[in-house]
This record gives sequence, structure tokens and C-alpha cells, in this order.
Amino acid sequence: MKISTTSKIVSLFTVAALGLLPLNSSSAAGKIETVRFALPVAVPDGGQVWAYVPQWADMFKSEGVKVEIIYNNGGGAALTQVASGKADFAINNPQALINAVGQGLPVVGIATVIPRQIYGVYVLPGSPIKTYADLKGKKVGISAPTSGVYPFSQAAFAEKGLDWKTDITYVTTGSGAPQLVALTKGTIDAVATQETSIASFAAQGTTVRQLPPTSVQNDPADLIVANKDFVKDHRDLTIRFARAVIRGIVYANLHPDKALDAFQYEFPQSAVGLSDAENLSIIKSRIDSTTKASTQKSWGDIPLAGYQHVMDLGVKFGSITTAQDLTKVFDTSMLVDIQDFDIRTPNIVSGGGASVAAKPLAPAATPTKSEVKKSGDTCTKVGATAKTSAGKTLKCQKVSGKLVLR
Amino acid sequence: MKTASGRSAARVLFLILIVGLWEFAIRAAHIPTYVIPAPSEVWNRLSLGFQQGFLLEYTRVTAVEIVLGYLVGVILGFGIAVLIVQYFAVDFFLYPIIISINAVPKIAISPLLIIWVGTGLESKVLIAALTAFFPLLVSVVTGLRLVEISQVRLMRAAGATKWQVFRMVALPNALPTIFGGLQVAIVLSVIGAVVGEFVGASSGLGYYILFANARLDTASMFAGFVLLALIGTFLSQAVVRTGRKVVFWREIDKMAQV
Repeated sequence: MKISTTSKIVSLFTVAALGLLPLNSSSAAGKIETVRFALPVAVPDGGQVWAYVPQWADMFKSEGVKVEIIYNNGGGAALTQVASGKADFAINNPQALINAVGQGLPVVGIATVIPRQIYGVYVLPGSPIKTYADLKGKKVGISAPTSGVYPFSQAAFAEKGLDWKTDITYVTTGSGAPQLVALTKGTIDAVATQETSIASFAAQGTTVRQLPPTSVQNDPADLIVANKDFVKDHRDLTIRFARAVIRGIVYANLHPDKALDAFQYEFPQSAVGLSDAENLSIIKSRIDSTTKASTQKSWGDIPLAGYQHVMDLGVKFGSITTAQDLTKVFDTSMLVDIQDFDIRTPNIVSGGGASVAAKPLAPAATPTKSEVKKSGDTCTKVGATAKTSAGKTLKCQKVSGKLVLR
Repeated sequence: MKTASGRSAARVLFLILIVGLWEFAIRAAHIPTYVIPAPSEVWNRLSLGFQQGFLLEYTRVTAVEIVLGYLVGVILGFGIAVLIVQYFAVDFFLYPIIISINAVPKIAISPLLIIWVGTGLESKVLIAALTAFFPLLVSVVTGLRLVEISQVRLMRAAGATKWQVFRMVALPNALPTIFGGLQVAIVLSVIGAVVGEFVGASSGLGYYILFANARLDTASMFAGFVLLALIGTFLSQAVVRTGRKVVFWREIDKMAQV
């Protein structure tokens, strides 16, 4: 039977169309959606493990999410980005979130990333200051009055019977080297700062002694904050994004060395100036702050009782304008889905929620044992490349006179 | 030191002496690196950074922000200055507002600009442009108003239009002053671009310096300062040399040698 030209053309189009049709729902779920993630720092300092670890380990990618990271000069700016719709998510402290909700801004906390305070009060090892009571009449350095360390220290001093308005003199030192110099030169008697700063001081050869922690230390801290309208319109995407963040945190806790690889890969300048051990100590100090707390059943849980305490103290000391109904501040309804992954292997998508097909992160071709390299291994030729076990590409570079893979 | 090469050699030797004294002082006094680094440490950061490629990229990003911001600032500054000089209404209503706005430090309004424009290239270019705009505006206005009134009257008597007077008398007379403003503006553009990066960026030398500060890596901060100084010097010299060619009838930069 002779087949007409028209029939041939129709057949060709039909075959082509069938080839393009999705054969199962996972193809539709394979679409990558972009979100904007506002971080509360102008530059990354190793503490933003919830961003660079899931980025490097392709966790965002495995959840079908492409993340555009936006750095901001502080938590206030990051929250403004989310409230105005210029960003979809941010990391922020609970005081700022509660105040924003009080002002009617469309923001909500969906998962906790730091379930304890990252701040403490520290003195030099030889300092005569042993307890909080010894701080009476002394100068305490903080990075900025807009920093989360300010409400933390107010609450800590009050718990120990100090009036932060009259018994303590706050000195704004900035962060980094100026703060360390102020402490070592005696311009300030103590410093209230975060754990990554302390690790940075140690990397520069200066150790400090922490004053005995107060109960405020156990209060939960930063969360993933989302734009309410975005959550309403993109609930599944919100869950996938948050799940990738929490997976990244769990992964960093299980494999701090991989978190170091992630940091150095995303920020190559971090490999210069500090050794791997020094970098790791700074990163690990933040990782330890993200470890699941006893008040949480699962990673990412929002400990409402703890945040109630934070709010009560905030209202008392003025860092929170008005108390709010916490059910309006936090949305816990997505946590079950956010936590739907195997915490033993957070780098592999197992549960996957409603729409993401299970996809392992391992590269298609498994490198042989001799081919598998890691950051810091020696190499022979500048510019040569090698793969890690996770499939990341390392480059041979000259570091301190030696050829090593980075 | 009568020849150009002789003067250059003297400058280089002086620089080497300063760097040598600095290195010696750091080592002799055992000053911690996080307070002030030795030049050798700064060199180490520079060489490693360029070997690994990120410093070249950060330098490129900041240089682009500076140049684009400068061009935008110069075009706006020149255009508005001409309108101010040519039209009384613009001078009366707009000039005082511009002066008032300029009194607000750019570092204070930068966070707002980032919120309005975002943390991409646009915000850095805008901040650099705002920083360069005002000195250029003032120099153009001042230069155009310094024209000799007798020359203007002569042109008017010969039937010249307002724009012919501007093009043939006012502008050529104003060029030396304008180029002075251009030199100041290029240096301020460097400051503006870095301020923008300090407030929110993911690349550039300002970002690199802040990153280093967070880790108490003062040597890397100095490496950033060196590169910014080199960019500023290079661009400033480019403006000076252009000025010499354009304003060829005035050798104002050789006055110090008379």
C-alpha cells in the first residue's frame, strides 16, 4: 500500500510528539524552580552553612530548586527583602521576625536552623572577671547595637542581677580584628560575640574564656523566614527549599570536613590566609550551634516554648515592641514534609514529599579508588583537575609553595 | 632627577625603602598579623589570589563598577551642570536641592539604595555614580561661570546664539576646571563602588576586603587596599593624560616644577 506524503508527515509529528510527552510524573517534577534566598550578612563568614553546604552538595538541585543568594547588610535588610517580595526566604532572628509580624509584614518562620544561642560573653584567660557579677562597672564590647548580641546580652545580664542600662557600658567595636584588638589592648573588659568570632580569634592565636552560660543560652535563635504570600502560592516549593536547607545542616553535622570542602569550593578566597584546620574550627563552631537541641524532636523543629521565652524577654528589655500570637509568627504545618528525609544519608533524597522523584546525588560515573581525590591532596601540575567522591572538580594550585588540590 | 625615567626610578626606590622599613618594623616589634601585616604577607595573599584566579575576577568586577559609575556620574553631572548655567530656573530651583542631597553621606543611604535597586551591579554603579556626580557638577558649573564676560559680550555682539557662546567660549575656557573635577570624581568613584560592595555584594574587592575582615585576615585586606590603590592611580592617570591632550594649551600640572 502506498503511503501518502501527508500520512508520512503526520506520522513523523506523532512520533516526535510522543517522544516529547512525559512518560511519568517525575519528568514534570524535574522542572527547576528559582528562589531568592536573603542572608543576613554582607559577606559569608563560614557561618552560613545552611546556604553553601546544600548549594555545593547539590541538595537544592535534587529538590528541583535553584537558589539565588542575596547578601545583605544585616538581618533587618534581609527581612525587608522578604517582606517586600524581593526575596522569597531569609535567615533571621526571632526578635526581628516577631517585630515584623507585629508591624503587619507578610513574613512567617517555617523552620529553626539554630536551636540555641550563638552568643556568649568572653574575657581574656588572665582576666579577674570570673562571673557576671564581676562585670558590674565594666565595659563590654559588641559588634553593633543592631546585632542580635545586644538583646542576648541584655537578657543574660538581667538574669544575673545586672542592670544593663546602668551597671554595664556597651562599647561598639565592630567585628573582626578591631574587636580582638579592643579586647587585647584592654579598651574593653569583656566581649559579647558569636561563636565564629571566638574561633577566628583562636585562629589568630588568642584564646578567650567564656563566662558561665546563662539559661538564655538555651533559647532558640535563627529561623528560615518566608514571605507569606509566596508560601501560599508555592507551598510545595517552600517545603522543598526548606528541606534542602535542613538536609544541608544535617549533612554538615555528620561531615564537617565536607562542609569545609563546600565553603572552600564556593569561596575560593577562604583557602588563602587560614589553614584548613583553622577554617574547619570556625565552620565547626557554627555547625555545633545548628545541632538538634533536646527541645526538638526532629531537625528544624520550632520550639515554641523557647520562642515564648525569647519573646517575653524581648518585650521586657525592649528588643521586641509588642508580644504577638506565636501561631501567627510561625507556621509549623510544613515541618513534617520538610523533615521527610533520612537523617543518616541527608545527601540522598529518600522521601521527597509530594512531587520530587527520588534521585541520588552520586555522580553517574563512580570514580575508581585511585581517581578519587579530596581537597588538600598533592598534585603535580598547576591547573590539572581531579574529582572528589561527590563528583566535585578540584583544581591543582600552588599554596604556600606546595602544589595541592583545591 | 631631570629626566622622566630618573624621577620614576626615584619614586620606586622610595617605595622600596618604605616597604623595607615596614617589614623590618613588623618583625622587630613582633606585631601580630591581625593588627598590621608585614608586606611579605600581603605579597603572599596577592600572589596566591592571582594564582587561584579569584583576585583577578574581583578586580575586574570592581573596575567595571568604577568605570561605569564614573561614566554615568560624569554624564549626569555635566548635563545637569550645563542646564544650571544656561537656565536660571534650573539654577534657582534644582541646584540648592542637589547640594542638600549631597550633604547626606553616601554610606548612610547605600543600604536604602540596595533595598530599592538590589545587590547586583546596578546598585554599585549607582552608588559610584552618585559619589562622582557632585564634584563633577560643581567643577563644570564653576568652570562655565569663570568665562570672561567681555568675551561673551563680544560673541553676542557678533550675533552668536546662547549655545554658540557655550560651545565656542564658555566650554573651552572651563575645560581646565572641568578636568580637575574629573580627576576628583574618578577617585571618588572608587570609594563609591567599594561602599556599595560593603553593603551587599558577592564579588569585587570590597567584598573580598569584608570577607577577610570577618576572618581577621588583615593581610588579605591590605592586598585588597593595594589593588584598589592601583586601580585608582591607573584611572586617575588616564584622566590626567587625557586632560593634557584635550587642554593642550595649559600646562597646569607642570606649575610645581617652575
